[in-house]
Amino acid sequence: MSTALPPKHHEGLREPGSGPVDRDPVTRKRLPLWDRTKFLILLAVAFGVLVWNTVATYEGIMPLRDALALTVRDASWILWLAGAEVVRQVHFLISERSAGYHRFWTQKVFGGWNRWTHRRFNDWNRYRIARAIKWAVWIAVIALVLGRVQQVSPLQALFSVPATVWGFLPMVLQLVLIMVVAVGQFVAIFWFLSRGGVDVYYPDDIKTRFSDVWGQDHVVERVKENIVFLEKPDEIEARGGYVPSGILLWGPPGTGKTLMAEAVAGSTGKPYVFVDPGAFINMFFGVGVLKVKSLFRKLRKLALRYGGVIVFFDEADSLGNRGALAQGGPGGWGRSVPAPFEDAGCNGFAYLDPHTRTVLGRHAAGPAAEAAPPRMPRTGAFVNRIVYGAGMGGGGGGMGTLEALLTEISGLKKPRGFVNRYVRRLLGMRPKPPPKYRILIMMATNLPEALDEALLRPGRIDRIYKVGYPSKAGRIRTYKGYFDKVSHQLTDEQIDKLATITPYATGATIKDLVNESLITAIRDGRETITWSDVMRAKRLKQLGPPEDVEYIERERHAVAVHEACHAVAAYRTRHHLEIDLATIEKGADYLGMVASIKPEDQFTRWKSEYEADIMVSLASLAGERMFFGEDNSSGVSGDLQSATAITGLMEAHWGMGIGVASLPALQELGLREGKAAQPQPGGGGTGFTGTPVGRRDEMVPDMLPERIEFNLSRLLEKTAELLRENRREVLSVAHALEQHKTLNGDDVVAVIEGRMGPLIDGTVYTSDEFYEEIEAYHVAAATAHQAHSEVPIELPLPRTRVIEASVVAASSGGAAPVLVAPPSNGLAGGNGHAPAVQPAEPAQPDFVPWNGAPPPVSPVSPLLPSPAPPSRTSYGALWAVVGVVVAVVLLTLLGVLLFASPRGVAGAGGAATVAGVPAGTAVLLAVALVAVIGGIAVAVLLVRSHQAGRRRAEEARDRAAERAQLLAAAMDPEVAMRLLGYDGRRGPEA
Amino acid sequence: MVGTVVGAAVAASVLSGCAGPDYTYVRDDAGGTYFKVPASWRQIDQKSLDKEVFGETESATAQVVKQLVWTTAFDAHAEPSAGHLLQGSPGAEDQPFVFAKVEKLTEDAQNAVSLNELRNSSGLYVAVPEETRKKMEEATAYKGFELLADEVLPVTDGVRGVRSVFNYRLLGGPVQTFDETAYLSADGTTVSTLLIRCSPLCYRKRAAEIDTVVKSFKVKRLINP
Repeated sequence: MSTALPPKHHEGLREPGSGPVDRDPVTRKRLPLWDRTKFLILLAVAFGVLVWNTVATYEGIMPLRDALALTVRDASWILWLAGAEVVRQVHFLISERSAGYHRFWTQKVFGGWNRWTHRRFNDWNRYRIARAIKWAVWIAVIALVLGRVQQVSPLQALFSVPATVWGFLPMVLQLVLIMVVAVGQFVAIFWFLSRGGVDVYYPDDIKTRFSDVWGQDHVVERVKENIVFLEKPDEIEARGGYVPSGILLWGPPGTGKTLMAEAVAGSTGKPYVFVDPGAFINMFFGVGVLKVKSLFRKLRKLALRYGGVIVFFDEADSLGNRGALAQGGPGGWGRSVPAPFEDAGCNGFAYLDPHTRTVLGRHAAGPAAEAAPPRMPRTGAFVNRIVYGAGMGGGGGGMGTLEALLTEISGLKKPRGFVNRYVRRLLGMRPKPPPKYRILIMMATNLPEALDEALLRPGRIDRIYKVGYPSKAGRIRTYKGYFDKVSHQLTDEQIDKLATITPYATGATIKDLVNESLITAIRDGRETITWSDVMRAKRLKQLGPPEDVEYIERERHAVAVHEACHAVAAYRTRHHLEIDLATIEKGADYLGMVASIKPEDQFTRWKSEYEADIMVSLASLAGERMFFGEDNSSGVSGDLQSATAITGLMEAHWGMGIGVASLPALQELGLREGKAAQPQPGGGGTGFTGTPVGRRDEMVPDMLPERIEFNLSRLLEKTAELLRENRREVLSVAHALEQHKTLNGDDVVAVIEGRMGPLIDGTVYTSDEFYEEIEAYHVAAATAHQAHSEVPIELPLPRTRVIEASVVAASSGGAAPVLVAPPSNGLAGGNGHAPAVQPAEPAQPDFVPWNGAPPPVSPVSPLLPSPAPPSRTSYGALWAVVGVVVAVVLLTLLGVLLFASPRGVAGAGGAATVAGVPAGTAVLLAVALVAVIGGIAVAVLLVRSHQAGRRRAEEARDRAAERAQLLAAAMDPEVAMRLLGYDGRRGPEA
Repeated sequence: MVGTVVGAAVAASVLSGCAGPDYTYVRDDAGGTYFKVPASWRQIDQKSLDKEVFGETESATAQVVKQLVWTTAFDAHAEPSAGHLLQGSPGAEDQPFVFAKVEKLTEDAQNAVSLNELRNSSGLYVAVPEETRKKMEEATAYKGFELLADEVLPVTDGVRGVRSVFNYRLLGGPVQTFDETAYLSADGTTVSTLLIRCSPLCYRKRAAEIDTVVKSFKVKRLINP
């Protein structure tokens, strides 16, 4: 017999390592006194209570002894229990002392019982027996209690349980009813809340077809394929495959994702369920889950009934995101395994403009963006995970909605239904396998990174298609599609050019541009869109309405020179971009600008191009210094910022400068920006960390800021040189800008090249006298600039009239003329005198400036089709022609008759031989006669129809003008006023 | 030391259990009326007692009265019998007989209750007018009435009571002494009566024992009657 030391009693947890050493003690662990006695004490207390109760019952007549005796007699169970407890404690006591006794009980008795039961019954049976015993015990207890309460034997009480329950049934039913009412409120609330946000469209409800989706052919083909699989699942299922169940369309806004989904709905014979983006935003926990469940119940029903169903989640990013996955890596919020939305390679800006502007914009985004430059290209988008993480993950779908959706999407293959699962099993049948629910899930988003990754795994979303910006061919098709819906006069080349100069146009922006063009045309009282309408609409879309700010002359000249320098530098150096427009009209956040566009789709950028960009940026500084005597304005700040930023990026990011190392990489590695290695052989430096040794070109700077400054000043010098060579062009463009305020790209080129532009005649600038005037004006302006005085000379105007000036004036906002000079509406940006122009004006019909254009210069560019000649012919001339023809014919006939009469041959064009006149001649004459008569008839018909058409056109134009008035009235008062003023101004001339 | 206390308690209870109580403690169904009789006295079978008290009648009125009345009886005789209530045993040694009755009063009875009503509550008329007494002596089986003692018990906790000791010669039998205690409960709805019968000799001989029983007869105010 071994005795263990009495255990020390610890309050709380014991110290580490002070636990029992003996893993398998031979005796029972000693019990503390409290554990030994607690049940006995409890029983004693109960006994005491009963005694006290007895005494109290026979108050005053019962001695304690009798009370004890009575209690012992009546409540002997307490004594039995106490006895059992005593026996147990004695058993424990012996177990604590005697190893043999302890071993006997633990290993022989209990262990043997354990072994026997394990041998005899398997786990399941033992569980069932235990369960039955528990039931029996509870029933016995209930029977005892009931028997005691009802003063009958327990067995009898047990038999009367149903009667008892029945007796209580009315009350139970009442309670149940109350509970149903209480719970029912919530059920009703949730039921109502879980409605809505889901619309079902049946075939033929939607008219959109795939042919309405333009410019996204590759995606459309793929989506069509999915529809084919949905319509004919056997094609792939018979071969062991499965129907792809999910498509994600992602891409920038306006590229036709929703349209494509609509086309799917219109082209398929299956019902189409549209889920609102806001459907899963809800007030209570769990409503979203209910909604998802009810949505999928509906989907399954539809899928069974129609053999398939398409469900479309618009703006799927509203479904939310549970945050980064565990694999998020050490990068914080970045993804080490990015979703498929990341374009591989250098130009990671998958659907954002890979333009320099975006690069700059990113740097302008502030220090937050600055702090994570290496992250940006990798995430491939401007989406900031922190932002949408907070927005979506928290609010959005949230609260289990997303999880419910994930489960429902991949849980379509479980057996469902109460009867299926329970009743069939009860009858010994296996549950039916679920039918094939063919549900095609389509989602559209422009924040693909905001989607949960689990949603995108194959099996849920099998196919992920980018609906990017349409290709040029697609844009052309889109433009044609939209232009074909309206009346227009654009040629294919013009549409081609339009598609070229709107590189990131989407379906939505194209539609908008066409509509804006139409509005522009309608405001001019025309029904037909012309090229200039399109250009004006594009400019309005790009720049917004210009502010009505009139520069003082010397400032206007400075701004014009500034922009002209940009334009000339752009034209001379930047061959990868075309000038889109140049303007000195003050906008919301600029004084003037030169905008450029890419002439063709190009996806890489080169050092030469960036240098050209920088030179264009620096041209303003160089030009201002050059033209204003080393003075320069603060207006160059933005230019310098972009130039510096690009130079910095070239130097530090793109390997286009003196050094090679990538600054972001250095920063990630914790190294400070290093010195440039020697570009020349023999440098011997160890790159950016070591100190370069050996001979160095002293002129080449070392540290990064110096390197950037070096590059900038080098390019500045180059730019200044370029501008010196192009002084005349700069001043010409500046003059054109001062005169017209806004120039299209082609016009800028025309001015520089000195030829006719689409809207402006550049040939005037070839004249040397005129250049001298311009130069003189510049000198005067520069002097005024230094003296802060008035410019003594007025802006020289070319001798030749500028044809489209009226159009430009109209475009420069219906507002500008109100302020400037209402009567001289013919001239834009003029300083009030326009003698050359005025006489020509009144002759013009007010609405259709190109129609009766009498001016010497053709009003339209070669791109514009010249109107049909008959419409130009005046009626008098027509009748004269007809008269002449008739006279000739009559004379001929007379001659023929004269010659023919001696022979007595009558009739016109007789076939017989005529004396004096060879028969061939006669036939010829006759044929000519018939042809002439026919020609006259045709001409008359043509003229008539033309007249009728013209009348109709005029009537339609009048109606359009009325409509425009109405439109103006429906617009906001300011616009309406402007429109009315515009008309009133034109009124006297009409 | 807790263990020792518990052990002592257990031991005491076990001991007392073996010995058994000296008295039988009795209380009515509601628990308001209780008393004790020596443990050797034995309870009378309820059915025979009912027969003795209410008679054989199966009338509806009797059934209603039965609902209102709780009775019990103990007999010190070796062969307990309900018949000993009024007559005593014919043998040599008469033994005391205890009869207890708790009656819920009807509203009329509650209004009419008085000390005399309490004296008459056992069914043996104690307080009757002289003329009635004379008539009873002549015409009924209630003969030989002698009042030995009459005492109005002090009011305790609103409970009023009367104790009367008297002799009667009933049904032509020998003279018997009756000791009657009657209480009106504090709320005036219940009359509890304890009646002990013995022969005059027996009554004198066992006066202490009988007095213990009478003194133990108590009525208490119930919290929720």
